[in-house]
Amino acid sequence: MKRNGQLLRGARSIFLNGLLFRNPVLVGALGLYPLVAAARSVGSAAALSLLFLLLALPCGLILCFFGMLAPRWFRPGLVLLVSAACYPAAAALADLLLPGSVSGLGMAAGLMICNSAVYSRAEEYAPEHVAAAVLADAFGCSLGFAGVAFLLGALRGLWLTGSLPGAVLPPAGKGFDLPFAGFLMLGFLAALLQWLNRRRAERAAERLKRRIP
Amino acid sequence: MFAEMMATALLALGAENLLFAGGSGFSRALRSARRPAAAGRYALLVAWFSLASALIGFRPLPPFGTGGEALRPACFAAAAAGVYAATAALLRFLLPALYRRVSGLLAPAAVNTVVLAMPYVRRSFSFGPAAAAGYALGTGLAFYLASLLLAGAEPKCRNADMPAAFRGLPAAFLYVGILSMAFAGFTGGRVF
Amino acid sequence: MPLTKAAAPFVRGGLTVAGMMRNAALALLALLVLPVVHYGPRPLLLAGASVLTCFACRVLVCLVRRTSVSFSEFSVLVTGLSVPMLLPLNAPVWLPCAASAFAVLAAREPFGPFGRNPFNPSAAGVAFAALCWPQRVFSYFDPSRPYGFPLFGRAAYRAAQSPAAVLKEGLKPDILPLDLLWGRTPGPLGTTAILVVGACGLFLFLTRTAKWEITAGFLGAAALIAALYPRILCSPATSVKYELLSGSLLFGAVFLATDPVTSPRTFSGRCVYGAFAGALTMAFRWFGTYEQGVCFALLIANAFAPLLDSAVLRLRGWEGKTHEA
Repeated sequence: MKRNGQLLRGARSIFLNGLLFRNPVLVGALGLYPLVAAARSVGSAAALSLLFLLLALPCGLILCFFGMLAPRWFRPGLVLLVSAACYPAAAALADLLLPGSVSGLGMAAGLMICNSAVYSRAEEYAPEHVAAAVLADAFGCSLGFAGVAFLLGALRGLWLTGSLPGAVLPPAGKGFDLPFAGFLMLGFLAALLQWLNRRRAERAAERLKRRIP
Repeated sequence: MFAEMMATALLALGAENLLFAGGSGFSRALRSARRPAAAGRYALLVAWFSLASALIGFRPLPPFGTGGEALRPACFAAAAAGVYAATAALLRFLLPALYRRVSGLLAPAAVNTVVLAMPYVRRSFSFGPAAAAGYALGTGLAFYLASLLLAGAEPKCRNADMPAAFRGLPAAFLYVGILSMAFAGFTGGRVF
Repeated sequence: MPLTKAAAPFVRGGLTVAGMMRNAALALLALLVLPVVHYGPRPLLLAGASVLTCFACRVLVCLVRRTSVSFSEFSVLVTGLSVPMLLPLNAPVWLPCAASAFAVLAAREPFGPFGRNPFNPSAAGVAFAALCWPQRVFSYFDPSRPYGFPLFGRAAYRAAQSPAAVLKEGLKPDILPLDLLWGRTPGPLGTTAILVVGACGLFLFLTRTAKWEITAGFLGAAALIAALYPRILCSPATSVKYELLSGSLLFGAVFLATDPVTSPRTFSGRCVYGAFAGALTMAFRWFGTYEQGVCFALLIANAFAPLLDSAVLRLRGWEGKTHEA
């Protein structure tokens, strides 16, 4: 019972790290390309997030169970192979749930196979952790990626169409469609998260100081 | 043929830059910038894998029919995995000294959106083999330049006077965004 | 003796940063005189709105960071004045404000106080505006007809192509090259009066506010490329005159490229930097989408500035030698 409780607490912490405190995009600088190039609306953000989850989960689990069997030098190729094998099913399922979404992503959909966030979790984390941790990490990172994707997609979509509430500027036109807008938004979001993490660390240090006389 | 290669290499460096104009490969470029001494080797490996990926894209794939579009990227990625494995095996068993120097860079160089975007770029611009090869080599050079620029920007992105919230990665994102904006002046719109 | 690491620009010999910024602001204000004389007070409105936006953004950042607000920083004034110079007089008031806000909030303040920004904020702001609203940024009125531009609201005017836009299409502008000196051609607000820009440049060089080698390298490289690869069917000399006197090339060479914060520290580095920026500007004119490419070119050149310094110092085998000012 105690072991289950510890496992749950550990999984919760891993999940929260993936979702927010060690967000793979805003802290790890992973998986940038699909966000800056393709997250231009809520619809595309949803498609990207779904693809991410449908790749990260099976890749993580497969590498968790079989990753240690492969020689270390071959593991990156194995991850790419597993990801490539999972992609057609992931794309088909994503297209089933959100019709036309995958083709709308263009090149970014296919390049999710080698998404650095999916790859790094599958290659570095999954083989050396238990299945519960890998599951929690995959879900956390997927939600973390999705959160950033939706924020980016929503903001860019609003700016492109000029639908920001109380907007005084006309629509930004095709300019905000470009990767530079994605990078700039990521910069401000990463700054916000860094500020939050610093506040959290300062509060934890204060709590520790109060406990130790 | 050489002129065609040079022309597309210049294109890869400038107007159709996959990294700055396309936003691709920056996760790797940011990491490469943290080890500027290895940037040259990293970029060479990126160029090699990009070349292989670009030339793989010329092999005709079996017709998958409708709904088979999702198999195409999977096939390219599988082929890229094969190239990685072959390169790693060759270096490991035939050139162990070289393998020791580049082992940490092989996987990030091979599993890279820049590398796997090559078949798409080839198809998008209707490149022949020589042009695709030139573009791949130019992309390797662009990756090297991106690593150097980001390494040079490190002091500006980590200075003690800047707001703590922006120190490090957030400032690096803004730096990359402004540089990407500059390259967008070539095309004015989406390239890929 | 405690040594403190100072931020750019590194000045000595009677110069102060405030003095340099003051000189730059004066030079920019001088560029407003002719447009005000010809078209009324609207240029002052655009410049004023841009400057106010810059200060407002600076105050906002100081409030968020809980630092004291200092109004003696002329650098923000220089940014606020540079931005509208690269935009048309017929632009809506919100356009220079949006560009200035971007310049301060995205290109300047996140990197710290004055002297820490890796990119020229004015160039970044105008580049942002050009990508987001290209129709507004590159649409000019025909100055050969008399207009009264109201202070607020829209003016009725006939649109005209700038000489830079005509050259971009591979055609020869109607105007003679030397007639471009007088400033009565379609173009951005502060860049068409070539003689005034030149005089401002001279003032900045003589007061050592700007480094002449950057401008010389910039213009030299641009002239060489214009002579060797003319965009129109004409003699090399005519091509050089058209290229150097049209668009915002000269303004960029005098005011933007010479930014002491974003340009290299060494003399050789500055020469190479100027030439590189000039060559890039011509590359943007040849291969870029827009008629004006100096802002984009300068941003790329800014990124290379630290590498140029490192290369120069490495070639010299620097070991504790003092930097050139």
